[in-house]
Amino acid sequence: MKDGKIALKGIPVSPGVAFGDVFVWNPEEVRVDDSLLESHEIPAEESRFHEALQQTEVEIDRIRTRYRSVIGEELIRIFDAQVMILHDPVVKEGVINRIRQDNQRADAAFQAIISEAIVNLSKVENDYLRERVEDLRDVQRRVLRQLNGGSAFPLSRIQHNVILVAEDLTPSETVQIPREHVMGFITSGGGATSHTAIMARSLQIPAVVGVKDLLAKIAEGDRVVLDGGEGTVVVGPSRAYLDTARKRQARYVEFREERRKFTERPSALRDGTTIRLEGNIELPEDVAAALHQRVEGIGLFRTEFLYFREAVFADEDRQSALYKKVLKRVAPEHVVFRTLDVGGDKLMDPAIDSLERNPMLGWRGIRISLGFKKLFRTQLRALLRAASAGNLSILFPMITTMEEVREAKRLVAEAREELRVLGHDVRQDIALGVMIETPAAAYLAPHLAREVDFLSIGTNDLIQYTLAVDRDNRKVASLFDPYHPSVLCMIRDVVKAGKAEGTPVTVCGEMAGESLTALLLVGLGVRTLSLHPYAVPDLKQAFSLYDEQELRELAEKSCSMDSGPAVRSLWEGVHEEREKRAK
Amino acid sequence: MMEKTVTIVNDKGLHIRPAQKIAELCNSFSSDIFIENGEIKANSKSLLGLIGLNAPKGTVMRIVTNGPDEREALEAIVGLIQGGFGGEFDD
Repeated sequence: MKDGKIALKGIPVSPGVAFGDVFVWNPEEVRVDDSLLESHEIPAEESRFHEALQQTEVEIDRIRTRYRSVIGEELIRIFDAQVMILHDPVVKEGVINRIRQDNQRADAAFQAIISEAIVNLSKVENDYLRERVEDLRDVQRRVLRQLNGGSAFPLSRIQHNVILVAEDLTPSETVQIPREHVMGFITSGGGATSHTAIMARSLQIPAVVGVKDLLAKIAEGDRVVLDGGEGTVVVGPSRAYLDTARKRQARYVEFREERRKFTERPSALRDGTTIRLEGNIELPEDVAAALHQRVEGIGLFRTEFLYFREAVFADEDRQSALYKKVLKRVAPEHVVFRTLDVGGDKLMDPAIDSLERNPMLGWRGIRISLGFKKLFRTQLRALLRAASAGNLSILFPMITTMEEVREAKRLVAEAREELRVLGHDVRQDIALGVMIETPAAAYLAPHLAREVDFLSIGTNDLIQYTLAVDRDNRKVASLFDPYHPSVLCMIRDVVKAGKAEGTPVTVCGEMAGESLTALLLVGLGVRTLSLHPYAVPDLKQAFSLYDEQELRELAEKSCSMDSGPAVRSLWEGVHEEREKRAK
Repeated sequence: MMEKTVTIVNDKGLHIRPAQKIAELCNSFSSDIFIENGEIKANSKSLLGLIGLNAPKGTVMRIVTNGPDEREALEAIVGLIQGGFGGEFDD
């Protein structure tokens, strides 16, 4: 092959060219941290070790209870043996000695001790004992996973610049990634709207997803060139290919600089109609980049990413302090905090979620908050207390019934009253809103618009639930269609319902962040979009090419059509011609 | 300190389940309990230690107990091993 050893093709999801060495992320694989402890870290490391042993025992107990009737007493004994190893005085002593005397980390020490036992056991002539090597390996994996915070190797330990290669990444994994060290993403799973894709775009890191047989063709340490605009990956690139890749990368950087000019322009249509652009963010440190793109406030702060990354959700004070920090930075513009939206595809605890046959139709969003009232109450109190620092709104996810809305509002009032009794002065002007991301909520919109202060349409889930398509399932992902007339009519009707009650309707989600669909939304009557901040310049440029009236007419026509692909080609045709004329 | 020698009589030797039994029993005593097979000496409260003894049928081992309940411990362990674990593992 002239370009390199192997050329792979995937779905281009985040433009740009990157080259570097591959780091393969496999959550099942066990790696240990070989770095040595500072002496002041030793006591904490010892308790970390004891805690991991306890957690592992809890895990084994859970498995044992769940499977007792299925696998029978004989195999249950294997788990008993595993628990005995957790309590084994020789193991404990050995690990503690290595921590104290050799400054080894608990994972390295535990691995060494068990590996030693495995070596000894493998020499034994007794077949019965040799077979037990697997049990030791199993216990070893379990404990190391616990020591690494639930996964075999925390991504946070990546210490040099890499191209990250994985099956797929969950949101709880993506938040651990040290952003400064990842130059590109390649995954075998996922589609254009997968979490990896969204994150890569928001970080402006090149990414290619949906590469078939990826892990069979790429190995750790391979040098690759990836082009996130074309969806290509070349392994072991030739010198000539590397040269042209460098040139393409330079051209892309130039193009992005060109686009940046639009950042400072007002967000308005050709006829002067202004469109408000707000930012979607996930972590407090995203605020700076969002403001840099000149967003007018934060229309969606997804609090679950804080939940995944930090243990602040049990701690009202710390949670409140983080919210305050964000509010202060963004003031006088507002910040819309969406309450914890876990479950579904954003796994809270893989052990819990794996029990649901159909998590997207299961326990997620507001349903979990109303089920875990203590967690919800802590979050509400943290939010209410933070309100004094700026302009705060609260948004409830995954609403399907009016009862959920009323219960959530009641809990807000309750939290407010508790805080008042404790002497906190809580602002009165906090707006409460609901996500419209299910057909149920869309049809309830006229009622919801009377009950709350604002509606926020979450297009990703709305499309998914309307079209019955899991966007991360490659077999059906092509059916995920933001141009589907059913989706457009639903959005149009929600906007109308909001207007009738004087209740603001905003749109967050991918549709708001892509030029063409954003134009379509404006045509449907939406005047506030919340999107990934990086998309601001693209949208401003697109808006400047159209008048309000023509967008309205195009959108009306789209709603009356019978096919998503037909709507798409209508808009693509108009836009292509419009952009040509602009040049 | 007390000690006694015993012979492994069960067919499959000291594999994981008998070892598990011994460790469980030993952990119910407060004395220190060691089992020696030639050069190898194991803390018999440790499952890993016990299976490291590599003791098939016929192995002669020395049991050493030391502590407040050393007598009871020694008797119980010797009884368990010489009794072939009640035939429980001769399947």
